[in-house]
Amino acid sequence: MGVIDRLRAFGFRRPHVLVLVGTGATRERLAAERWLRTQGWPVAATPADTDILLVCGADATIADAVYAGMPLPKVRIEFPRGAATTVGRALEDARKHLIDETQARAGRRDPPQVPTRQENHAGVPEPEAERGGHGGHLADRGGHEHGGHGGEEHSGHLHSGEVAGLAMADRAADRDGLKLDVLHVPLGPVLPGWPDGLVVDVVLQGDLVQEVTAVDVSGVPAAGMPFWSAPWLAARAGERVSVAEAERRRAASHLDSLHRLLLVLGAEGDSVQCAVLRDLLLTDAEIVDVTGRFLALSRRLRKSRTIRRMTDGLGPLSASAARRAGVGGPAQRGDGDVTARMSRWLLETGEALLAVRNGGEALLDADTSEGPRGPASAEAALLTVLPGLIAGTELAAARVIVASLDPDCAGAVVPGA
Amino acid sequence: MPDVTVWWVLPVLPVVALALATFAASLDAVLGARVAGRVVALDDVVTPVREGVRLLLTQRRTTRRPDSVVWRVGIGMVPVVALLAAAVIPLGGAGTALSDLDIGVVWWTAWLALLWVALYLVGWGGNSALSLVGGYRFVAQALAYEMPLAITVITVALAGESLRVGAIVEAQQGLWYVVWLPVGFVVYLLTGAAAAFWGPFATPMGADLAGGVTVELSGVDRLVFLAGRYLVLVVVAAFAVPLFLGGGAGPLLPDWAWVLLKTSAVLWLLVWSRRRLAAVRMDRFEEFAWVVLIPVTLVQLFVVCVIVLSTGG
Repeated sequence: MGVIDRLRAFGFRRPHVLVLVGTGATRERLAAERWLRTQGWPVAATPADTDILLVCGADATIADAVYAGMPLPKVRIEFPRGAATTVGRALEDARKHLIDETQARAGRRDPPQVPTRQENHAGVPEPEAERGGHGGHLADRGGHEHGGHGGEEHSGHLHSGEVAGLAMADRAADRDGLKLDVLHVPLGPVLPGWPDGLVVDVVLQGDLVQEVTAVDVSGVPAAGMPFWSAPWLAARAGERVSVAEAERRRAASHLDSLHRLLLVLGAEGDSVQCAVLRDLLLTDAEIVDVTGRFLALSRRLRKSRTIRRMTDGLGPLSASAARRAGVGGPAQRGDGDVTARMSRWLLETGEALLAVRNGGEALLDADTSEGPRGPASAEAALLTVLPGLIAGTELAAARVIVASLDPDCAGAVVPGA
Repeated sequence: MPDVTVWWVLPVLPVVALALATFAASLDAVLGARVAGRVVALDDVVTPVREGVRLLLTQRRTTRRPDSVVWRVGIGMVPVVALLAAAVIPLGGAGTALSDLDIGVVWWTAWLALLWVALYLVGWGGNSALSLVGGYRFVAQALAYEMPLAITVITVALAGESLRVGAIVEAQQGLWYVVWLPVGFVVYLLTGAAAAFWGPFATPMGADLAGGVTVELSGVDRLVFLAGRYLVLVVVAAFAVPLFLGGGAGPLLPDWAWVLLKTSAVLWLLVWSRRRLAAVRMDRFEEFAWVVLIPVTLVQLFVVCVIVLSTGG
């Protein structure tokens, strides 16, 4: 192996991996995230920074578009099904392919600066290419219509046609009555800390979400039960499930939600801590150790004035309004803004950890105990209240609000959008 | 004292700055490994080098209809601005800055202010909504940090009774300004981190925007931008040394060693704080900047004014 080859192997010792998750592939996502974290391989946030695309139950069209947006060298793999290969082995193999590809590319003497765009297959619009297209949502966005603010100032529809196959930005009056560009942007499914498989189409004016035009769920439905509520569903089906096992799952579910919310809030250290604790719980780690670390984290988060300042007043959802809409679980019991929902997660995680310690081998009673996300219908209800909560907020706030609801779309029915 | 250019510094300065930037990135990776519950390995320590090689081996991807010139100019500006700002920072004792300009403090501030333009150009050039929003965010951020930063730097210049960095260092031989102006030091670190879009102020490239201004960057573009960003962080940390920490002053060791030690210490503080503090959004921080930070820095400026005048400066 020559010097150049060694350099190639060194450069890709820890390739960046984008985990593309479809609805219901929670188990796969958790396995991949855990492996990447323990190996120290960076998780890519955008196709532009991705070497390996790991597809976990996502739509093929979305995977195609994301793959097309990745720079060379690149490798795409499916999450390995069955017991023969672990995700770690699959990723290690993918890394070898990646290094082989750099060598082959150098051998071919391809001009390294050819943009991926031009070698793309026809018919698939490239999402990242459009202004506003990041994320891999493929619906045709021509001839869209929009309302002004509240629909009353609808005069300025200067649809300017297309330039180079791209729709131009429209114009509409903003909240101060100024006529500004509006962009039609799909949020998801490729966004860090975003609910698996969720796609929310929004109308952006600057960084203000003026309107939500559609809420969609994408992905190949996974076989079996939704991961987070599986113990409760199993108990209801007559299986013997211990309280300890179920409460472990509940705590892990909330820690996963907290992990994503904190990631979106930009609290990276605490976010990673939540993921570490979540993975410890799911690998049957000693509960005393996990509880101790969780309590320290929880105390710090509750005391953090910065976090409270950033979450107070965002996305208010009163308990009564939530009940009317059919929302259950922590989102309803939180009875308030993002801060309230986050406190609720922390509280219920603490309670669940306590129940694991005290519950022992007692059997779960599915009639009296409810899963971590509330009743099955609650997820779909979350998707119906979501547009009302994020319309009119800034993009950063909208992201935080969505993360604070963290709908698990696995059980959700797509609402008529 | 005339403005002379110290030519031997010209090749040394970028090397030292890059070494410190690598140190900061490496430290960040090591701290990240510890937070993630891993035993720190050699692979964590060499992260900046490995990432550099990786990005050089990666294709430079483009978007459809980008504003290429604007995009590339913006990306290139980040490291260039950082290195130009560093020209007035002494690497050791007197006469070790590339040029100890008589308006050195203004020079540093003026170059860093250009980051405002650079980030907006990068955000705009990629022709992508998330990247554009990242650009917007930095402009809003600049409204919050520029004023307190400028007032703090002016306060230090007033205390040192000169805009020349060398003179400010000399004026501190009795007492370092970090002791005399502790509030100024804290405000400097806070607003300096904001200028380097670092830590709690990293929202222009935040995870919620999938990387914000960097969302479409790959290959050498990404490398230049990210390296430039670490260089800005180094320049912010390094300028704190002549302003607040007495420059190269210290016992036993030579001046240059003290400068290096102090710069590394400030860098360590900035890098360490990244994982300890949650990001601040400008829709909520702007108020704090204008209602708290600016009045506090103005009061400090006033106090320093009175002291300088009453001691007959």
